[in-house]
This record gives sequence, structure tokens and C-alpha cells, in this order.
Amino acid sequence: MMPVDEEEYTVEHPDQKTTILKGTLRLPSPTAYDPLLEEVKQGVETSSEAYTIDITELKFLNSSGLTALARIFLLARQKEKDINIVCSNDIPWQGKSIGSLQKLWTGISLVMK
Amino acid sequence: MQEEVFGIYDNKSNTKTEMTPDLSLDFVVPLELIENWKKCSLVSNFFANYQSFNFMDQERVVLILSTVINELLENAVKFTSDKNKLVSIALKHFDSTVSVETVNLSNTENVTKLKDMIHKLRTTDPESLILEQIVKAANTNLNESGLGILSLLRDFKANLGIKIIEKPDPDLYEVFTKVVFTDEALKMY
Repeated sequence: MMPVDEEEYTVEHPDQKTTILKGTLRLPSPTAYDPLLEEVKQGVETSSEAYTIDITELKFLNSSGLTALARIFLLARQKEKDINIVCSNDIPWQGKSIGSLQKLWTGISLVMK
Repeated sequence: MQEEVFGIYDNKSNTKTEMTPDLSLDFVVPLELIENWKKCSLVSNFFANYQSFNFMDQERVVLILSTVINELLENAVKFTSDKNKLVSIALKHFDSTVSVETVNLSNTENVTKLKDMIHKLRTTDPESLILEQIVKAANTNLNESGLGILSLLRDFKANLGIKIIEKPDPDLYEVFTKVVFTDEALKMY
């Protein structure tokens, strides 16, 4: 699994059921996130355990990114897979924006750190 | 000239041209080069950092303001009718409130979408609209999130206004979008 390392952000996959997003993600459209999140999609589809997305070091995510994450959540709902999304209390938008996406699927657990 | 207003502009809130901003910028984001998109983030971070000196917890205020300003700018840039036309942004701190306003020129197609969203917002809460928009965007594989303004209203509880002014030229509109936060709200967020 190759980590994606761009100037403003990194996408790491420490194991087959975890993705860590760091930095600033402000890509121009929801589909611009597809290459970055392809491995997450595969992980959600194939993992037998809950898939974890850690955004505790993601300082900024635009609304296109929120939409891209929401699509992952809808995929999890469709496949009936659980997702843990780990957020930081120190980054004000995370709990609010991600928290309200929880309504998309009961299998989403929000972990605040 | 026809005019449509939503939110705080209903209360005769001044537009950029009617106030003296602390900081303002007119810039062009030609999207032929995707690298230019990063200018939105660059400007957002600069404006947020500039304003943060009024606050004790500067880092936290930057995280909030930059997110809000970036959504305003991305909207203004995406929905400008001519990618080589100026987008304007102005920031004002006055009477313990922070105001940020963007101005862009737009066309009938984009303004119709914006008016449609405004009409829905008059009767439906942003929470319901945002979930509806996400499901719609996912099912149709839309390449626009349509969430920018809605997330500002829902996640940031922003005092937001939109003013659309029809220009004398055919198919040309001026769109003002403004967000106002009290200092207290920014500290408590």
C-alpha cells in the first residue's frame, strides 16, 4: 500500500483497515478525491472488521471533501459495513461536520480525541 | 434592476461597496490551470490569519475562519460566469463582529441554481437539505457538492446573507455572499 504524499496532505494506510488523512484537503470537486479514497473504498468493501478513518491531523477539509467522505459512508451503508471516524477536539469543524454525517448510516462511530 | 435577497441582507446589511473593509482583495482564478484552485486556500488562510490577531486562541480562530472563507471563495470562483473575471473578498472587524463578503459575477444558469437553493432554505432546514443534497450528489455522481453554503449554515450556524442583483447586460448578475460572526461566537465555537 503506497502512501499518497502531496505538498499539503498525506494519505497513509498503516494496515488494511485504517486510513490516516493529514494536512489540508481542498480539492476542486468531489470526484477529485476519488484517486485518494480508492483504497478506502476497497477497504470498506472488503474488510471484515470496522474500517477506521483517522482525521485527527486533518486541519482543513472543504465541502467537496465532505461530500467525498459522505459517499464512503453511503457505500458502507450499502455494504452494511461499520466505520470508525476518529476526530480531534482541537479542530473545531471536525466534530460538527462529521458528526452530522453520522445520520447517513447507523454503522458510523465518531471517536473524539 | 431586479434584486433578490436572503438572510442578513434582509436587514439592510451593507455590501462591500457600502462599507470600508479592513482588508480586501480582487483576484482572478482562471481554472484552465487546476493549480490556480489553490489560490482559494492561500487567500483564505491569509485572511484568517490576518483577523486572528484580535483573538487569544489564534490557532482555533484560524481553523474556523479559514474554513468559512474558503467555502465562500470556492463558491464565488466556481459560480463566476467568466473564469477571467475578478472575484472580490472583503473583511471587516467592527463592533465585536467579523464580516466576510465575497462578490462575483454570474450567469442565469448558476443564479437559477442559487435561487432554487434560497427558496428551499426559506421552507426547509439546512440539516434536511444537506442530507438530501449528499444523497442526490452520490446517486447521480454529481461533480458539484452543493454543500458549501449549506454547511456554513448547519455546521457553523453562520449568520449568512445572499444578494443577487440583475445587471443591465443580458445573462449577467452580481452575487454578494456575506457571513457575520460575533467575536463571542468565534471564541465559543
